[in-house]
Amino acid sequence: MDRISELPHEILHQVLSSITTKSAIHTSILSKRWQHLWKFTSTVHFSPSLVEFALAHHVQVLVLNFKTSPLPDTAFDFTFSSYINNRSLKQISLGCANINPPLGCQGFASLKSLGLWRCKLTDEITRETLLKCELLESLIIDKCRELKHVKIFGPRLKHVTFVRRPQRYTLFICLVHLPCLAEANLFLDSSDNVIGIDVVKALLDEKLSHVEPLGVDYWFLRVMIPNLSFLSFFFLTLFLMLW
Amino acid sequence: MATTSTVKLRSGDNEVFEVEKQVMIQSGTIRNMIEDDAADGEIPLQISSRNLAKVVEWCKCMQHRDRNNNNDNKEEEEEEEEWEKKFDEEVSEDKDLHFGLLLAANYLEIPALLHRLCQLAADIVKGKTPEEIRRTFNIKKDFTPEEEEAVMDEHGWAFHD
Repeated sequence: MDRISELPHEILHQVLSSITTKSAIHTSILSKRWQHLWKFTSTVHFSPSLVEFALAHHVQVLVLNFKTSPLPDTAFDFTFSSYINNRSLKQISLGCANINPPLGCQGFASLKSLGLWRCKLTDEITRETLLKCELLESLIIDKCRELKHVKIFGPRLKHVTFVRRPQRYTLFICLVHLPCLAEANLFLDSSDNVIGIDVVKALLDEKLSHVEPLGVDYWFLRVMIPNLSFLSFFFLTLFLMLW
Repeated sequence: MATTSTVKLRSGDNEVFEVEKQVMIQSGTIRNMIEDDAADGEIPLQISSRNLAKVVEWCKCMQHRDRNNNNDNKEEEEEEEEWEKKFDEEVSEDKDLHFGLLLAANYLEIPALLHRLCQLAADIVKGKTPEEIRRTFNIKKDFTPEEEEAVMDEHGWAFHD
């Protein structure tokens, strides 16, 4: 009797999460019951062969969005490691991944654009990653979890977009050493009601006056100008638009 | 607060196990019942006595290990390792026990046991070809040759070295 196929989905997902992604995919041809199971595993093991396959085809843009699971907070593990270290890759976009510290990675020889969307990302890993991406020109950090004191820097960074994820603790954001910065979009609130005025603190040691366009939201200005009311923000926006 | 220090678990085949609450709070399901004062009578479980006995044994061993964690008793440590090794072997060789325990650990919400059992299942699957996995678990292929080819095409890279 085939008892393993009778086990509930969640158990089989956990089993498949403990083997390499490639082996998990192999189970898709066992039977119809197994065909889609591997897609719900909570961990993706990027065996060198997967990424090597992509790199052997001189991939320039690597987009991995793991939002396939119906479970809301299931994230996938992703490690920038030495095998991503190649000369063709120009853009990496990751969605819903747990970003691990870069392992044995010498640096990204050609990476110009990095986008992280709804990823789990610590301050330290952000720092390590930015240190290894010297040629980075565009950075998007969009609603990433676990950032508390994030420092954004880069000698060649031209475009920075940061969208805060609604969270209850204070977020410090710091934009420093950005000599090439040309466009910054800083959205500190996504209209949740949990934010208090002291929830976000920003430190900008670069003069942002030469940055054009500069997109900020009401909450960002409230951090900069503590006494700003919503009404004056509205008139300020109106004034800038007319101007 | 509950008055007794033990909890009675009744298996699906009507065998009653009296176990210390301290041991069984490893199970989220039973811990909730204890906290809600709903564990004073017997707790009926749809788990066979054989599987339930094994679960209880596992919980006792883990609790014993956690309690002695600070002790530097080499002998006991080795004994526990030996027990775990035996447990792994026994489970890996007996599919009825293995899958029965998986269901029990899932139902009783014992994450550490569930994790261990899933790891053992993964070890069995690991490194086997799809045909070997089918043979090991008696999985019947219900794809037509065309369907099978379509599934393989979908993830071509994973099937070629």
